[in-house]
Amino acid sequence: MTRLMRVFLLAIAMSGMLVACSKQDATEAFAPATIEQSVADPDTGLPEPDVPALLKQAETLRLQAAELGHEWSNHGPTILAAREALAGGDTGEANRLASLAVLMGEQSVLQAKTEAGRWRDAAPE
Amino acid sequence: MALVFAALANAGPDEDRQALVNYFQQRSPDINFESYIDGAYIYDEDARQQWLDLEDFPPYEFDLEEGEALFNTPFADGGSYADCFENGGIAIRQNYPKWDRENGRVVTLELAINECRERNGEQPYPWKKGELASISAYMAYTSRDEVFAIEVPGDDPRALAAYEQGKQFFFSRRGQLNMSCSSCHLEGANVRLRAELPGPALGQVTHFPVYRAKWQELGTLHRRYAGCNEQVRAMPFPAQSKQYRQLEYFQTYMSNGLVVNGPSSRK
Repeated sequence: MTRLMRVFLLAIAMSGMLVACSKQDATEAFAPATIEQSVADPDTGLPEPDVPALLKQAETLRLQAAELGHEWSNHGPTILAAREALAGGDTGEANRLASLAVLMGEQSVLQAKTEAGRWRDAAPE
Repeated sequence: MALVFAALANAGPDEDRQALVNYFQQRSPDINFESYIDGAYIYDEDARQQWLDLEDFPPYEFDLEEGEALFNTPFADGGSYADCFENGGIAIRQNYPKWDRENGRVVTLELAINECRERNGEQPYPWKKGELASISAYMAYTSRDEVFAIEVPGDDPRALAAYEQGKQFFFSRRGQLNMSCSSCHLEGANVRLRAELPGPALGQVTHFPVYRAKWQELGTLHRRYAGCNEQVRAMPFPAQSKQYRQLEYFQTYMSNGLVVNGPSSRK
């Protein structure tokens, strides 16, 4: 195999790797990491969750978002559903919903704080 | 265009309004300023024709009759709505919402109607529909073709602050869908949202109260505000809350120079 041929094959292999990497990056970058997906699976064998603590945190965040005028309409119902699941003995579902409610609270408070500084620049370029 | 938006974001009420008018004129040079009272129907000729046909026998006709009858019925103490408003309550819609200097607040027409009732010993009506919407519709009807002339008194900084709060509300994203009023009614005007065309912010409040096919009845502007908030999964504020009154103040000021064409019908 000539040197030129080796260089050519190496170039092809590297370009293939680059394409694969860029596809992976693009997938990661544009994958809609929804709140639902980012909540840990309760069946993974992780330690027993402290659902009441999560619910307390979620409720505090809900009140904080409401005070800032940015409460999400589905936040309260999610907390309620988590409480009902816990009361019904479904700890896994309660953990999933309570974790989701915490994330919703964090996002709504973040939204309020971000918008307070951003609204004047709301116009598109 | 960026300069137009920058002006809208940082200027006073008059400059804001002119920037908004310029923005829509640049986006749709063929649409006259006066046409913006017709909302999204200025963008879709088929929908416009259907709407005009509907307006031949408007679905709010009975509400208007009810509103007129209620307006002209004296209160138990002998007072009347006409006693509470300038010009006997006729042809005044274009001046609301107005700044209440004494109490440092924005007063909408619906708020003024209910406060009139309470001053005369009557119970206030529910805010979003029913009798209040009918009376408001009748008062708007008597004001048709009057030009909106909302004032933000320059000598009262509280008025400008209320206006600015309304403006902030309009441009702030909220709800899980992270959308603002401007998402749909400024940059999103005349852009398809599935099968719907959002109407332009300019002239958006001139035709309220409206009979919506979705509601199958007449409703007030604040009922629509709550519906918009719910659609983006934001917790709505109560009708006639400070937030919605300030939003209405800003939005109606933006429609200064356009005429009253309420009540109207919408999908």
